Amino acid sequence: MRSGSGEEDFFNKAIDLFEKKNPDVKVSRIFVPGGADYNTKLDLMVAAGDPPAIYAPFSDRGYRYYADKGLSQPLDEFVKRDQVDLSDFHPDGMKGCMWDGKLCALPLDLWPHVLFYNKTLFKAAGIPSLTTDWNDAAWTTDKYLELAKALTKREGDTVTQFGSDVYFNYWAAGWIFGGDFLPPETYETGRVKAFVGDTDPRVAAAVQWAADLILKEKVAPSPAQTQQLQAGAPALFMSGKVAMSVGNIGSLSNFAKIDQFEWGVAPVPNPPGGAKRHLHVWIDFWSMIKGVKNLEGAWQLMKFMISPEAQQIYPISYGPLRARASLGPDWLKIQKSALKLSDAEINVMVDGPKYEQIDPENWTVNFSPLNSKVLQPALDKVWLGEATAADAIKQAGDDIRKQIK
Amino acid sequence: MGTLGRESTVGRKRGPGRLLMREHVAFYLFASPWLIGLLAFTIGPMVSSLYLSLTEYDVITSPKFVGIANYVQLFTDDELVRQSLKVTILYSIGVVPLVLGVSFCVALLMNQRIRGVSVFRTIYYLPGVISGVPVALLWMWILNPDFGLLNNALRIIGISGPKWLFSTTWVIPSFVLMSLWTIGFPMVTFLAGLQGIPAQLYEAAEIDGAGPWAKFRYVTVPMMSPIILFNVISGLIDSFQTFTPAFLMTNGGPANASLFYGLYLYNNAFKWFNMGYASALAWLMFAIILVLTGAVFRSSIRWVYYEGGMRR
Repeated sequence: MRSGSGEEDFFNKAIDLFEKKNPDVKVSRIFVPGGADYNTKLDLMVAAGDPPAIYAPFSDRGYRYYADKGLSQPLDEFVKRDQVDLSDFHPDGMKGCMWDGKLCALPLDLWPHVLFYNKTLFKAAGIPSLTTDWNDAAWTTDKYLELAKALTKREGDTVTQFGSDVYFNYWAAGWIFGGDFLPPETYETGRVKAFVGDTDPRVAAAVQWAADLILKEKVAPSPAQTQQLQAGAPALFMSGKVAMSVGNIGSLSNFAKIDQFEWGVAPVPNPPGGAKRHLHVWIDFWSMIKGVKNLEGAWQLMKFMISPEAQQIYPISYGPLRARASLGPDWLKIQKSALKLSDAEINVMVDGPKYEQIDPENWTVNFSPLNSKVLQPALDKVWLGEATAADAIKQAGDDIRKQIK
Repeated sequence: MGTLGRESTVGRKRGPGRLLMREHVAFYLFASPWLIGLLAFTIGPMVSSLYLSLTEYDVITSPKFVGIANYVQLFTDDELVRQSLKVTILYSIGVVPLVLGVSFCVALLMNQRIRGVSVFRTIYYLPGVISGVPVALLWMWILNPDFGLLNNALRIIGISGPKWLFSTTWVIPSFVLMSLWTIGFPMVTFLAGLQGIPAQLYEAAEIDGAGPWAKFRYVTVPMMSPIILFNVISGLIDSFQTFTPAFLMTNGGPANASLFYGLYLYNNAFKWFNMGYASALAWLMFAIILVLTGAVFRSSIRWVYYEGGMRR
């Protein structure tokens, strides 16, 4: 399980409960920092022939990495035998659990993206609170830019308050106006086989728009300004010097500690001209590796970890959305007691996944290396003002096609 | 070790062959911890890495033999190999002479007989004992384009500083500048060398009418040349293996402008788990360092002077 993000206590609590209910079972817990360390540890355990009973990768290299190599333990038989009701889980979560027609994982949690905003700064500028309606057609990126300009304060050449945080500055920027770097079938097959970012004009326009918030409009901080303003805080928004910040709800546990200003939650703006919003939700999964020593015990543990009882502890008490729709009211109740937000604002987060979809990092087996080797370095040049989005994406497209070949 | 063996056997009146054998056994027994370590942790992994470089290997499935495909790919079809080599070579060209020159000059200063010189020596050496992570964090602040110490200092004299780590042009010069932080170790070796130069050589030069520059040129530099050779080689090897600052401060960015070879190798091994390809990259790095070191050694015949040695 992942450590370092304050989640250990919640995982331990859930597993303690499992052990209490199954007194003859003892679960060894291994905590590893998320990301590369987690992947390395898991790989070494698999290579040593001693995989963990269950695991949740929490990184851009999900369980599909193992499923693609034929190493994931299919769960169909267990689910059928124990009549586990999967209809309660988020549809995209369930879609992400299938690999080559087999159920190889079960959804753990969801981290939708929303807009956090500093209500204190809004009030000071005489701007009313933002909508809480995901379908509000007037809430667009044009309006966002207008507000960002109004909320940015300058003293000479120095910006003392930014209207916007860095909007998406990775592949997700290409989605802002509804486009995508990859064709739709990528999300069916789980393998990147084509790149269409340079043929869809919405992609370059969206990336340029996000970069121009920093370079042209100067309403969002550059990476250097972010480094200075953030000053070691977990998120730039917590500095109180940024009016609006798009991010996922993983920040909630940190934002709950904010006592210097009032903040709120709104949907991520729509693209201009009535186009459909394209936004992603991070989804985590529990999965099993083939060859686990106590297969039945591992399944019982996994079944428990996705049960409403365990999901009450993790993810609900920790922060991310539960994978089960039926636990929505419980999440709402817990967050209401922890955060000073209205019901409507909390519902923005609860409803988020309805308007968001699974992302290429979470879903495909080969996007992450393509992204870190080619796409992200190309996009870096746009944010540095050293290339236009159109040129950078065209160059990336040529290189990615070569790599795919 | 040898003496003990001799004493213990003489009393028993054993033959010289047996004595020699006992000495050999004792030698290997005492050397065995190091030999086992060398075999298990250096030679073994090297042989294993050589084999893996001929395979496709992701750690969790068995290595698949692919012949020289990894080498073909890295020589012909990997733009990032060329980019990472370019970054590393540019960095080495900047950092090796700079660190060498500055540390030599500082060592000359630290070799003066002035009051409190030991305090200055400690001050110059101290940064070298701080581990990589805090140093990286410190330099990120120093090099911040908007609020960093360096650009603020430049602003005072009317210069608008560059974006340093946030610029594809300036990121490598930033790392070169940062390398001055590590002059402590070469400075100490230079200092030790300077203090080992016999005073009579300078006295003889003075009698021959040599001034300070002539003494430096014809006594100090030749006498220091073995130390210079050592520092050139270790500096070259260090610069080719640069990893920590790039990993911590830029992660190879922006736009791969600081993608050091060591970082690219690490990414292949531990980010994308292409262990076979990463092993091929490691062997290419080994070959490059071997060739460069060999070239420096070969050139040293012309410029390194060993006291008592013959110049060929």
